[in-house]
Amino acid sequence: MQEHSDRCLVEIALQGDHRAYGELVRRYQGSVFNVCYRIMGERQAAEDMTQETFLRAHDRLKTFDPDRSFAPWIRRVGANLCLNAIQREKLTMLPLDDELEGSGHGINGRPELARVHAERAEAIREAILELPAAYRVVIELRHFFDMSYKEIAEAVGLPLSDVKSHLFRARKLLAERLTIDV
Amino acid sequence: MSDPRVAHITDETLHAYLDKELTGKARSELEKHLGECRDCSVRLESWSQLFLEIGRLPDLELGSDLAPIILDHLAAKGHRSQWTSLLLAGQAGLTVTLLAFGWRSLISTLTFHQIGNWLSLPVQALGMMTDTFTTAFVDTYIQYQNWFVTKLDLVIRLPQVGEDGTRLIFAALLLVLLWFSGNHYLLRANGRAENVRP
Repeated sequence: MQEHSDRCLVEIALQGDHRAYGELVRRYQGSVFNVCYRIMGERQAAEDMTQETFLRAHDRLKTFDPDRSFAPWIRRVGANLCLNAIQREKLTMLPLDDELEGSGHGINGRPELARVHAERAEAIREAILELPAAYRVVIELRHFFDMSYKEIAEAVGLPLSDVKSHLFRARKLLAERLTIDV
Repeated sequence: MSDPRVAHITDETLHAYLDKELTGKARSELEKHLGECRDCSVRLESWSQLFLEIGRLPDLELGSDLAPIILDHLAAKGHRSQWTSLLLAGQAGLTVTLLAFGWRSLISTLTFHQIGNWLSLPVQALGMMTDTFTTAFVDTYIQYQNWFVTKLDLVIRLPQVGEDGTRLIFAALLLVLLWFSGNHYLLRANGRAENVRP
């Protein structure tokens, strides 16, 4: 089934073939999981949301426009589910003072380039995961979904000014935690 | 390095610039300032570097294949939905049959008369002068109800049942209604996938 395009797999899946949908799951479970992980901030919750994403997407497969790419669509379904999950738990949306202070994860030492890059990436990931949920969400939508401020505001149901301030504060925190001099 | 008399660009504006949220005059003025101010250019470069690194964050490995679990769920769900469709069709058929046989009796003996009485209750609570009003109100209601039922009778000719039949049909409709509500909650419960730990 490897040679089939996403569009073809969607059409076969729509006819009730679960194996075709299984192939789509195998292709995109990794990227959906990463979206969920960055928003949920916890591996197990991210795996749960990834499962939920593919189950929901299967129910809504008829609404998928085959002229568009499947990957952004399924990632968006995942992001929306995570947003809803986070918004249901309003408390975790609120940035706590403790969280805002941060601990500052510096990157020391400069051995081989590959290792430096890997460590840097890990530090950035950790810094993102340490952000309050509301900040993680706007970072995800801006940097990984390339959404405009207005689109983010519509997606999360916040005023434009809140989106701007969330993004600003999130980036400021990231810069502090990554000890970037700005 | 920087001239204290010069108004520097705020980080928020630099973010908006990097996010391509600045257009027209604001953008060109900012670019002009960046060409003249080393301090702001350095800050822009730092933010730009961070934004780039965030966007290029490599994906983590999922660790396990979720496809078999998801497919199991879908298979179980498909099995359930077949039964659900049959159940809903059965309920709908039963409701239509019950209403076909009992609509006239239900309307004449229960609905309209009761509504007339219920509506008259707040009027009765007002005092002495309202007895006559209540009687007139209920009588008028019954009169219109009879007119309505007669008109409906002319349009739809369906079997009629007696008083006992009406009670039975009413009880059956209540049961079907409860059945529907129960199913609604069951469907909602089934609709939410129970995630399985891989």
